[in-house]
Amino acid sequence: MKGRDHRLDSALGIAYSWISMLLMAAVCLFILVTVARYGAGKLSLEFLITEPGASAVDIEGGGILTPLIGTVLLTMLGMLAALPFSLATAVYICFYARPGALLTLVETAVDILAGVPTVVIALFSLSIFVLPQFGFLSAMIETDGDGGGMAYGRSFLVCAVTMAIMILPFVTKSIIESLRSVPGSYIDGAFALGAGKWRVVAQIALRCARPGIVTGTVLGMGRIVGDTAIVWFALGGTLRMTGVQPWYMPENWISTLRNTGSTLTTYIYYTSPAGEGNSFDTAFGASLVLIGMIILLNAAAALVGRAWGGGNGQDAG
Amino acid sequence: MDSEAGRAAVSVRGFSAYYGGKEALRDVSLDVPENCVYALIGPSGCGKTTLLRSINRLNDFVPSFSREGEIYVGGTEVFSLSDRRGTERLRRGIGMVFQQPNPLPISVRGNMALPLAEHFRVPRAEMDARIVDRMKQGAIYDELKDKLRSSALALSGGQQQRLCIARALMLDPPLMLFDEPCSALDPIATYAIEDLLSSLKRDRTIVIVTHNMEQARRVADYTAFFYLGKLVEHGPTERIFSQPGSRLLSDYITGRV
Repeated sequence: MKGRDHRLDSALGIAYSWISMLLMAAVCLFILVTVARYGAGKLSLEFLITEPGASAVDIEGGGILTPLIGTVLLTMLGMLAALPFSLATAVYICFYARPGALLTLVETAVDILAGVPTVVIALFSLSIFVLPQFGFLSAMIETDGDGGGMAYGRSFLVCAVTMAIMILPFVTKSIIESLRSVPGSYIDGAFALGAGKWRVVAQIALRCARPGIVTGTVLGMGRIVGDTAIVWFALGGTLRMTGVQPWYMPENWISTLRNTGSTLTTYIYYTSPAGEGNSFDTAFGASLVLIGMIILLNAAAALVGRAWGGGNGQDAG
Repeated sequence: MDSEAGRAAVSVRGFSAYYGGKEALRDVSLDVPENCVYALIGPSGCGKTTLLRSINRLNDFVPSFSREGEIYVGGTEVFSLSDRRGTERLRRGIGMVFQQPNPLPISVRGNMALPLAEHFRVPRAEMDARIVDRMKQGAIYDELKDKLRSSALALSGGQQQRLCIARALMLDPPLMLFDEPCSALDPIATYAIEDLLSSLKRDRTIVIVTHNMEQARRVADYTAFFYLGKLVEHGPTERIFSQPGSRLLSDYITGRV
């Protein structure tokens, strides 16, 4: 009996993976090179620290100061709002919830929310935060004198809360996963030493899961940095900060947060030919900054992970 | 029997255990005398680890676990402790060492200090003296005295396991449970632990689960043989191995089960 010769199909397989790999690398590089080629000319300190023109039409003169601040602000606020809830939910699900209908309900809800497109969450936010009860997050607007009143429903605060809702399931799920991968022997060992349950959770489980929690946090921050739909619906459509001026003075911070602005993603839309700006160079310049931010974010996460020892210590031998 | 139970470090009385509907132990009764090494042996799934983890009520964390019968440790019926504080105090008096060495990802000193710092406020000098003393008892001090600040995860498996033993000694437990403590270790590390066991039993009682019959023979004063959740035979180790009283045990000893 003659053995089958696998040389041909293995050669084809290898060639196929090789070509796919090359193609993918080429596409990635092409995008980066294009962004850099058009954007690099725009890049300067002045571009970073100048406010944009009041409207996209006179965009050429301005920089990206307020969109940049907007992105940083939303990322910090959104994460600050989401992380405590995510941590607490993950701890509850992993250590306290009894298997049953409630747990299934919570986990299913988290899964579904994770799959909802952000534009739907943005729409939801718009419908909720215009209620007068939420006026403190944005501003009240007068209606036709019937005394009802509505909230404007678009501001940094509204947008940050919406971002928090959007990333909640991702961050929660990744924390759950890292908590579940803490070796059971650590947990058993701590209990066997007579530690109370809360101490075991707080000192042992959360400590061992720290690298995973950092990863989840960065994942969530990356999603906020990159999101456009929610900014569109919940932050409003102005390039500059619209609160009391000058917006950067501490006494005006509250006003700034309760008013509208932009982020790098919406700025890119406005300045691109799809928006009103019709300036590829400006849009690519902002894109370059955006990509740089994401690279920095990931590098910081890697550093923090390494500083904390990384992994859960399974590699010792 | 009663007078013997009075001197027993652990008394198990009519103990049955279940995971959901599945029976893990059926009607087990035995006494572990003080200051000895007591081995629980038997093939996988025979219930020996279930019994061990019932003694310090670690099985409480398995949601489907339920049981009948009693286990007395130092005269207290462990399942009569209904509140959290009671079980935590019980566990503090019972040292446990696991199959997989489980030092936490912190320094050697941090690991040693943890059990005490968890429950008591201890002056630093006193803590340091105690750490040195317990590491000596755990036969790990000479190797690690210059590494107190380094990560416990950087140690070899055998060192990690002795560190875990020394850590358990910090609370001076009169009873210690060992769940296959050598199954993840090489022979040399295994002998180091076995040596340690015989020195530790001078002041305390040791219950060890092992699947290694040679190990039971070397370290244990008494041995109990379990099969499919039932206690088949128990008694002095020498008698168990030289004159097995049942076909099952002699088959197990000769490697036929």
